[in-house]
Amino acid sequence: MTITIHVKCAQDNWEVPIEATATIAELKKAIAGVSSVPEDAQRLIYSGKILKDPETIESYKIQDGHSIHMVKSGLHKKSAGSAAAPAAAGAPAATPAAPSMAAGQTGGFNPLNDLTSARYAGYLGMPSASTFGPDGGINSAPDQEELLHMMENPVVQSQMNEMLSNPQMIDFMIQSNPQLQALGPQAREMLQSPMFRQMLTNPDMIRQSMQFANMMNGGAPGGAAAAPGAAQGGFPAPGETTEEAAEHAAADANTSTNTNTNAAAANPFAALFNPAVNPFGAMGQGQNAGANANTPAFNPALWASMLGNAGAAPAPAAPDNRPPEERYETQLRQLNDMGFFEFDRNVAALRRSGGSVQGALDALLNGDV
Amino acid sequence: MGPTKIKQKRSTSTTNEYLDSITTPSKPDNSCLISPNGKAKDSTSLDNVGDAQVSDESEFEIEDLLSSSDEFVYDEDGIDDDAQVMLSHPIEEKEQKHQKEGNMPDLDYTVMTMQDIFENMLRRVDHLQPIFNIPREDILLLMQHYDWNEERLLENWTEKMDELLVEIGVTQDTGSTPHVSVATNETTPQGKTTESSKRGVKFRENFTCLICCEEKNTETFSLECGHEFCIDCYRHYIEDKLHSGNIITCMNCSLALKNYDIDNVMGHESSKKLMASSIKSFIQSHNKNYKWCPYADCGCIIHLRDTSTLAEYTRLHYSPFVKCNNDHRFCFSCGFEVHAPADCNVTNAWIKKARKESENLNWVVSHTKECPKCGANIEKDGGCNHMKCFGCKYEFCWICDGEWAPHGKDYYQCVMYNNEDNPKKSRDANLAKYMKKYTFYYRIFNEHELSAKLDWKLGQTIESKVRELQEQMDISWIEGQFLPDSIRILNESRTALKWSFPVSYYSDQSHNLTKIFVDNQSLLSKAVEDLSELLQIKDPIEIMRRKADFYNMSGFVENRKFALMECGRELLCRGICKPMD
Amino acid sequence: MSSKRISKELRDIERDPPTSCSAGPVGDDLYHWQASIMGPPDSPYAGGVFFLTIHFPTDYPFKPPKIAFTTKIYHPNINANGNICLDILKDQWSPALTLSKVLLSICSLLTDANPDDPLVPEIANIYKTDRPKYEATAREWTKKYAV
Repeated sequence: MTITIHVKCAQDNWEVPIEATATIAELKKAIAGVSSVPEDAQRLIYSGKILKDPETIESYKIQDGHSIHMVKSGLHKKSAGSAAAPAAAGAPAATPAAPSMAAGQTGGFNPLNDLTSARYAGYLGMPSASTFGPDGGINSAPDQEELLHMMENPVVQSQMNEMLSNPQMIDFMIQSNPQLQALGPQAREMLQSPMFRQMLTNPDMIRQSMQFANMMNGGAPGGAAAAPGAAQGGFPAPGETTEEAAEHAAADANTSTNTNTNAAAANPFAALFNPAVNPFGAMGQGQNAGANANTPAFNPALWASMLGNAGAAPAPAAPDNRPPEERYETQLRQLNDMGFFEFDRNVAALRRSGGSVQGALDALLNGDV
Repeated sequence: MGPTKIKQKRSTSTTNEYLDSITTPSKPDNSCLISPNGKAKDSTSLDNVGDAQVSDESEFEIEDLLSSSDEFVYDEDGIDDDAQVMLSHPIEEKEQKHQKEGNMPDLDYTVMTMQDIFENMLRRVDHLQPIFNIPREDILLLMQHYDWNEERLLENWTEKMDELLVEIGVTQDTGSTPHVSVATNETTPQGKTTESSKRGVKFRENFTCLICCEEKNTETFSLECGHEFCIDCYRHYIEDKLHSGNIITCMNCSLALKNYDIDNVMGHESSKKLMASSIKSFIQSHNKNYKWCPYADCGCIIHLRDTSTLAEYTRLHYSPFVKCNNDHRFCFSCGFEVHAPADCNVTNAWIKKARKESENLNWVVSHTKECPKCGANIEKDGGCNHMKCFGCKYEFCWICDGEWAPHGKDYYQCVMYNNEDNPKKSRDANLAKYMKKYTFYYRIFNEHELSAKLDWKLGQTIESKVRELQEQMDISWIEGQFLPDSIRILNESRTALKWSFPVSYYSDQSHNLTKIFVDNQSLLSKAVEDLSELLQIKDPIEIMRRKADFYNMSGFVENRKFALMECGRELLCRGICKPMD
Repeated sequence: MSSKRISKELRDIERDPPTSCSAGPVGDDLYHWQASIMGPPDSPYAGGVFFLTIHFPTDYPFKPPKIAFTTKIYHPNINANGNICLDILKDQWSPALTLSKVLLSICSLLTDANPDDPLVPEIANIYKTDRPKYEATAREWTKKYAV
């Protein structure tokens, strides 16, 4: 028996005829047909309850002429834990969000452990927090130029190299990215290949892909959504990776994952970007739900998220932006013991050194702060 | 009106409540003539008349007092001149002086009932009517809205007359939207209708009330707003709202129901209920100035206009005792019975502690005791603590179980808390390990309370006794008054004595003044016991023969009572007594 | 008697539900409903769906229904237990009010909080002193719990 259901959504109103015995999933499909809201983004509410896909319409006692409400929801297929972009850790001097990345990750491996180490104490020209804008880069990704500039810094390059050669890091990246996981062992291989590494660290390569990315989606940092869409061709997939790409394309052509991994293979950054893009997926939900371009651009946003500022993402952990007195408590005490009493200088020095007393000492003694 | 009401109807004893026993119609105390040291007394001594009432109700006039006072002059320990002095002065002046609590001003209060207050309000409304020029019911609503505060009402009235009327719902607010759009039947194009036809109860057929969603033939009610609902719904609604004391409005808008509307709907005098709740809530919110009489079933309200004097009272550790129309005396601050010499702090602390420890001390409070010698169970039936065991003829003191003989001379042993271990007190040895001191004082406190209860019962019979006296001994009524007087004094003194124990419990035992205080206690105890014993005499002839003793004893007891109270107050003022815990 | 009234309200809501509110009985018990409110678009709660439980007293409509949020929400007039501080749910209740009106009032409460009569003073404080921070936190919580 066909009944007509009124669907209300914000200002819009549709009428959907459907069988009373149909399931909610089918209803969603029908609604998607008239409203062009994708099924995955639909949340149907009737009588104060959320309608679940496996149930039928009559089980909820929806009758002819009744109205149900619809709410557009954000993307929630990705797990919340992928907030931490398991990608190359940049070399920031100060990243308040660093420890937070530990949460939501599997195992004890924290790729960003090194961030606050003293390794970079004393280095100048490192990208500091200011590189990424006032809010740490979540909302305003650094300029592409700036990023390139950063990449050209040999220190950064060596860091990237190091990171990629660290098997733990690679494991972590794979774990947090379901698409990579889907790829299977090939992912690991691919990521570990020197070609790949080259791509990531070679500024020229990066520049090229950025240009393509810009072409593709007008430079918007909306990133890729998990939407089925156009395949990527056109990226100058370097060398062997192209073959892999072709393989993957042939293997699973039907799922959206595939197109993503396809693109991922084609553009190795994609794999890295998808988790990075997650935070932006959530952000982009309000604007352009579900209909984003499928281009995993070389997203400057990646860097931001890599630096652990993915606070906007559904990350369960809170960023560590406690006041400096708390954060550097022990270090400050040590510095005090040594005779450095000026709090502001100490804090600035500690920031530069990423929390290391040794580095802070250097900075203080050199008169850098 | 001050505490002295010269014209006073004597009411017959009302209930069996112990507290009722301390009734005090105002009559200046005879004993105010008998003060060895001539000190001004606190007003607790005033208004003292025995609780036992005579059958005929007579009203005292000052003249009576003046004439009767001549009879009751007697000397105390040869201090004549004071009495002479007092005699020479007119009684009235003396009264005034003794009414003052030391240097305290009079406690200026009035006693009212709910009915009084309501009538008062109505009178105010009548008074305001020409000013406001709106119907009386509307003024009533205004007063309700402002919590019966006339000044604020007048202020706001002069500022924003019309707004006010709309605000409380007297006139319709044309701008507001009702909760539910009810289609009204008789609307002219402007939406206004003839008020008289709309307002009130009507009968309708097949009416669907939007509140209960039932369709039936029923009476309906509406105000001029036209929001009509079935009468049952309105009844239910008004019934719920009667208790709140607020203005009742139409269910759908803010138009107010007037008192006659309420009566119309409910069918009987419900508006009075509403007024009563309104006044109750008013009293609640003003409970610094207004206090209900705490006695059971007594609906009197004490209205203290000026509460600034209360601060003075607290500072000097006096307690503001007031009396209601039914001769119930109580403390205005804490609502308990008259608790001199303890002040409100001590009283509260003591009662709190008692509640906490009540389980532990239940056994202490038992009414029966075994004779220390033969173990026979004895029940105390009189106020006197001098016990004589029927079985073995052993005489002992109820309080301490000790032999009576040493008590004959003084009570020192009994009332004084003994720090050393006393083998006689083996009964409370276990408990005493933890709460020796408290147990001791609580026992005494309780004993006196019980004694007072029993004495009061005795007092009930005093009436018949006096009548008996009159008949048998052929004496006038006034002659027989010494008995009720004595009873009254006994009761008051027992209360004072009772409350002196919390004071000594909380006092620093080592201080000299405390020792003096305890001395006073013991003296008063002895006096009270003696008086109590006197009052146990049943034979009328004997009573008349010993009349002089009655007077003497009563006077003495009263003196000692004052002394104790002053001493207690001193302890509090000096901070030697500190209610902690 | 109250069941008739509640049934009528249910029919009205089914036929013509207010925008952004949805309500209905949980099971067969007419006196126990659940409702959902969509975050008003012009508030930091936009995009979220908040669930509430509703209990009707037996002498409804003379006594107000008991309404509480089951979804966690960051609002000065709603506490951690979901209790709502709203005058029409207490002393300003009138028997002529219906549930849909009450739900609409709650919606408007979400848009315009009432910090002068707060249930959670800390949030009210932030609302008054640092509005952007309040909105940011509200958005965050909406994302966390109501999406």
